Amino acid sequence: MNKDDFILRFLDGRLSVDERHEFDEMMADPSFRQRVSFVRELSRSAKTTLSVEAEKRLDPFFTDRLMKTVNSQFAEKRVQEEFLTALLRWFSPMTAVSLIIIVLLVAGSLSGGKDLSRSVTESVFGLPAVTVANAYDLDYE
Amino acid sequence: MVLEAAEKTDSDSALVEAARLGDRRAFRQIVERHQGTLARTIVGLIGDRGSVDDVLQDVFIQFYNSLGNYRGDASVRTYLNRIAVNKSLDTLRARKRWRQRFLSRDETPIVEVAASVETAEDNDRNKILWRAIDSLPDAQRSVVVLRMVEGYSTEETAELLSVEYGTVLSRLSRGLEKLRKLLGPVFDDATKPTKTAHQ
Repeated sequence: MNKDDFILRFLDGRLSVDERHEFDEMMADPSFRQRVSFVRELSRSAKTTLSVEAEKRLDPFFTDRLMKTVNSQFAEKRVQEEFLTALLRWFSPMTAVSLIIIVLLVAGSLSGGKDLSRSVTESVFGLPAVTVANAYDLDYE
Repeated sequence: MVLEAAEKTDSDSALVEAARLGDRRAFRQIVERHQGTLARTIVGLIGDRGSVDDVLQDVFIQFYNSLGNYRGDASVRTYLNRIAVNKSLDTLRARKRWRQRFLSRDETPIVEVAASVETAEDNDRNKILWRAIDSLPDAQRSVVVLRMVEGYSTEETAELLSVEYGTVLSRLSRGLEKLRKLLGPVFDDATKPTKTAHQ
């Protein structure tokens, strides 16, 4: 059994009835009594000491400084969200138009599939096929 | 209006709910309510090894950013304390890594603390106690602070520090033994065996 933990559990009020009985018996020993007093006193004093120390170590206006950081983070987050929304708004019509073109091209390609000599441009837009070779051909009409 | 409702009920969960809806005044109230206790935990854990102010700011900012994840399973105090313990341990680990890289081992000399204890005046008691706690190795100090000052059970302390139950007990014993040696003269009057010591 760890005596210090046993004492702390006594001070926390966490001992069972049997343990409490055992504790009472141990209290007959002066050295154990002294140990209990030390742990109790240390626990009480340490709380005060650490609270005093914490107060000294916190710079002034802690809450104000923290809230300033929180507010700036919040504002930054909002700017990012607004930027993303604007970006999405701008991209949505572009995406829609691109999708329509792709669908048209695929549809044209499928419908003109029987006539293999016709290019996609001819099938969909009715324009003559252009290749690198005939682009430089001066007689090309 | 949300804040008014929160103030009326005066409960942390109502303030969290208001803060979650964007009420920063409610969040401010949470900060003001818990900053003292959290600063005590942090100062106990990191001692002189980092800025309490910085760690405490990190704790509240993490809490603010995770307001949406807070489900209310644990009380706000427990939730915040867990963040504070983790952040403090991170600071200690970072400090340890830094020391291992750049410095040789140089723990606060216990002799120095003992010498000041012998010449202590009553009004120096807080300072001496602080120096004694701060002189403990990180592992022992963490256990002593969480178990004795913050009132966590041995099981909870083990869970928070991610160590075995037995490890907490042995660190507690070794830490208290050192403190007994250092603070014996200071606590002498209070710890003399008396017939009324037993409650």
